[in-house]
Amino acid sequence: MLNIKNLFASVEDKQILKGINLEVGAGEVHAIMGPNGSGKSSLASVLAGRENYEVTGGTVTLDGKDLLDLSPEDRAREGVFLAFQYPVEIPGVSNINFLKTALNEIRAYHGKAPLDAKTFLQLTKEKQKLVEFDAKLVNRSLNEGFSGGEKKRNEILQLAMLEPKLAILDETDSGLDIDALRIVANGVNKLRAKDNAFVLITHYQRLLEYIVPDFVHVLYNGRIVKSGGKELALELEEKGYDWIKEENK
Amino acid sequence: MSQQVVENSNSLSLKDSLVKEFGLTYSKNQASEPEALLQKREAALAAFQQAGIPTTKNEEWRFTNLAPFLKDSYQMQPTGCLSREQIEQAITSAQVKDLNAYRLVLVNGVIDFSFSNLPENKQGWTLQSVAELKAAPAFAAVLNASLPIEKYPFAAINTACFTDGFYLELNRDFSLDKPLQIIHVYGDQENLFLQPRNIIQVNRGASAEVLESSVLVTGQLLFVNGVTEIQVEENAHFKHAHFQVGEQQERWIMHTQVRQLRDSRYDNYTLTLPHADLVRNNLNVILDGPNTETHLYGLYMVEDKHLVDNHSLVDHRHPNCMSNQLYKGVILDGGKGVFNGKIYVHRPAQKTNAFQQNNNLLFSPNGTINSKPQLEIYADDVKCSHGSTVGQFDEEALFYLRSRGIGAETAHSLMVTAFAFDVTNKIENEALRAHIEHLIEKTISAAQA
Repeated sequence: MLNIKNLFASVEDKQILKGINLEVGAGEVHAIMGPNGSGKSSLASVLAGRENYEVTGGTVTLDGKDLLDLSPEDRAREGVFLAFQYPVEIPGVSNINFLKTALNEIRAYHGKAPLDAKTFLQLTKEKQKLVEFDAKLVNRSLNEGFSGGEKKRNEILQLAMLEPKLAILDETDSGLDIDALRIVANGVNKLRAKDNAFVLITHYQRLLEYIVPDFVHVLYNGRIVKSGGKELALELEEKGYDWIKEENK
Repeated sequence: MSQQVVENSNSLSLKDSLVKEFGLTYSKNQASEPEALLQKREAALAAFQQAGIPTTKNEEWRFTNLAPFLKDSYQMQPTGCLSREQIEQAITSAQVKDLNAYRLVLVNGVIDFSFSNLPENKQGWTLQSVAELKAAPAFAAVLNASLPIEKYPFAAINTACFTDGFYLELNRDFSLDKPLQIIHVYGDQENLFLQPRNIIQVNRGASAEVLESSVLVTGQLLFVNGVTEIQVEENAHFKHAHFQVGEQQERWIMHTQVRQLRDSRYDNYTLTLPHADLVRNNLNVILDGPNTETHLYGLYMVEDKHLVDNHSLVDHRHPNCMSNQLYKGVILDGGKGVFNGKIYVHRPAQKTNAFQQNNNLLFSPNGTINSKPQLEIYADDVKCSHGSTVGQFDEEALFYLRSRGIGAETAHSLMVTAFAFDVTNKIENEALRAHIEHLIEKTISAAQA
């Protein structure tokens, strides 16, 4: 599904990604771990098309389609979803209007008519329930005054509504207490399917107790230096990142 | 009067044309107007002649250069009549979807009852033309009761020359059950300079909601120098919305002078959207009694080569009054906005709560905004604040929206709507709010086209 080949990217002339290679197949969950500053969030940003990143080499394709040529909105319409580490508060844009606009713009891209109000509300209700999202929050301004946990749950609600092929969760576990983490993880687990894929970016192994990955990769200094199964995460938890740094001096 | 005026009006400056117009109307007025009014007009003319048309050397006009708008010549009275079709079309275009309201139509500043739809119960209100009213002996005393024309040259020349307008009075304890939409239809075969004078008197305990808008139906230039005087008496509540959506050949200098008596409330919504060339609003609220409440909300969107200038004064003269002003501006590519908000708290006005906020969003690097909040406080037990900001789009928020599949254009539109939300959500009437939100979206998508 997702195919990253020898990806190089920089911010303000500083090289951040230095040759990433990663293949993610349909139905798979990949975890990307690594110490702070290794380039994990940068990878997520580059995939979603954040503008201050400059891709200096390599290719990224989603089901054969070149992603790097597309605007952020077209990437989303092709099926890329980035759950933000720090979801943005936008006072004055209602959550529900935001969801409707996003959903209908994606539908329009695929030549589908907008959902009628009734179907849309039904869908929202259903997904809210699925991800345990407080119905009251849907009518509020987007993320405004939401707690950290509510913001992350809102990301998962959007994920459920937009049904992307590839979901990248950037440090979704950061700042969550154990209950919120469990709710977010449950949501993701319910959304896992054979035709979609997840990339979890995380610093800690904790999230992976709730969302069990098929593959774990360690990112260090802009490159994937180690890949393995879920047991690699446990090893990292136990030994920390120092031995990785040591091995890659 | 005005013997020095030459025949060919094309060669006259706007100032001279206005003085000439004074001479023409004055001789007509002499037959019908009481001496006191004639004297007031003469004094007003003298004030105008002394001040002249303000230049940017005048502090109150520092950022608003009128010179480009003074080159054209205008007729000071309409040369013909608009057809019924033109008026009907104008009314249709001013309609607000789903708004259930009474309607008052003025054509070139003169009431047209045949197009109006007014409340049937005639006990509670009076509507009259100012042309009729000005013959009454008491009229001169109420004219400019709280408006110091020596400070406002355009209000002065309006005082000297006005011929008509509407007078609306709401009787004691009368509540208007629906909003009143006032549609000002303008147009002529020639460039037109009009000086309507409107008066709204809201008597003790009365309440009403008025929405004003205008439509220009011809392609010629229109310059309106209007004055509206509003008196909100004890315990009365007046809601006043002004939609300024126009055509490129419109120039507006609007003076709204409000006087509030004790325990009254006045809410003003001034919403200025493209495309008028020039909009200058002077909004002065004189708090002439204790325990009043005042809310001033403004939204302006300024496009290329256009200028929107909001000058306001909130004059706290008595204790325990509350005023709150929030003006938000969106400056599109090449547009120029001016905000000058003054709050004056006199020595007796203890326990004043006065707040003012002006926020601006620069849509492009080629916009200009001059924002000048002014606070003058002479009382010592008050709560006052003011703030002014100029910002650009929050790139992170834009990226967030786009990363959900929302296109750049829609994302900008959502963000502008969100920026304006603090003002639009204060419009309680849902039909009006939907109308203005629709206009904002339209303006933003046109700006990006």
